[in-house]
Amino acid sequence: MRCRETEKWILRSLDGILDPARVKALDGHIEGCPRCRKLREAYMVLLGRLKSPAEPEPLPRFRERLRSRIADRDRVEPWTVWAKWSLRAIPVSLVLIGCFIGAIAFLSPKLEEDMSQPEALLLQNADPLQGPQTLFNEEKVENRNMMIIFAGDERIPNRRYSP
Amino acid sequence: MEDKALIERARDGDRAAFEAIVKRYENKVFHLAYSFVQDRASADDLAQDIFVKIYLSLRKFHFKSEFGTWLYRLAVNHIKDHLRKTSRRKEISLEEVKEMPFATDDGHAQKEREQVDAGRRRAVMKVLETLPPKYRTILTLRDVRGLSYEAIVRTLNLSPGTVDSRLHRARRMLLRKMAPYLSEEGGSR
Repeated sequence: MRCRETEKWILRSLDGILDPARVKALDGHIEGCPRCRKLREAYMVLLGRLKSPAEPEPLPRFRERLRSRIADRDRVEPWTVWAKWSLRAIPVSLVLIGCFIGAIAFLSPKLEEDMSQPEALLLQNADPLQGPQTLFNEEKVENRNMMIIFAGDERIPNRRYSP
Repeated sequence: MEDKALIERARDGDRAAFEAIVKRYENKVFHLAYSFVQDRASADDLAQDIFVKIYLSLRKFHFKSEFGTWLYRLAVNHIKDHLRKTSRRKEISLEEVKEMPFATDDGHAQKEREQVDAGRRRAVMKVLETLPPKYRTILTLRDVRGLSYEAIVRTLNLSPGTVDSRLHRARRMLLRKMAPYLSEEGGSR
């Protein structure tokens, strides 16, 4: 064992984290090495000096002084309360806006042009079969064909062929 | 009441809950500060500053670590900042240390012995103040406050290897600086 390695081992042994086999080797080395023995003694003295003796208490009225400091701080910075609530308000307002948009989309009545002609006729309490009936009543083949062609687009009643 | 419940209440603005937290940790924080500055009034100021900081930062605590560890880390960081600002890299002369009752122990009166011990301790603490903050911090946490290696790893957010090597370097540095005084002391404990 070299003296160079000893210092680290001495410190580890003083911390109680050196494994027993190494402690034995270290003790053996120190027994025959006055320099390392002196080093260990010096570290023992030094670390002993560093150990905290009985410690004083905080100055009187520690909590009262702290309370008034915090109260002063809160008075100086009222925006902190606003910041706290505004941060919570952001997700809540986003949810509310989403609900509002959803309600508008769901509850708004469908536009009339979206209805098919039979639907519109039923809504007006009229007979939706009235159109086909006129088609069957038509005697001329050309007229009937034209009526069938123009009846394809039911949403444009003006384009319906009516002889 | 559990720390968690107190923290949640304090975060919602309950001053009484925050005071309960202060009551629970004030001695720990004060003693930590005292270990670094060795002055009651300065340690008291530091402890007050630390608790104000804790009050303002409570909302940033997300229970990812233990509250005690988080608080200790915050306190150590605040103290390190303070040391950095006030660090003067003092060089202590042999005469200055000799002025303290360091080698005058005649081994008779108990009171005198205590004074000598206190003087020797003050001398070591004064030399400790001259170390760079990172070495001073780790030495104070381990050898003055007696924190375990694991607690230091958590508090300083360092790897175990770094803690080990930094502590070793800090102790060696302190010993080299103390060597002249220790030899005068004659190796007595």
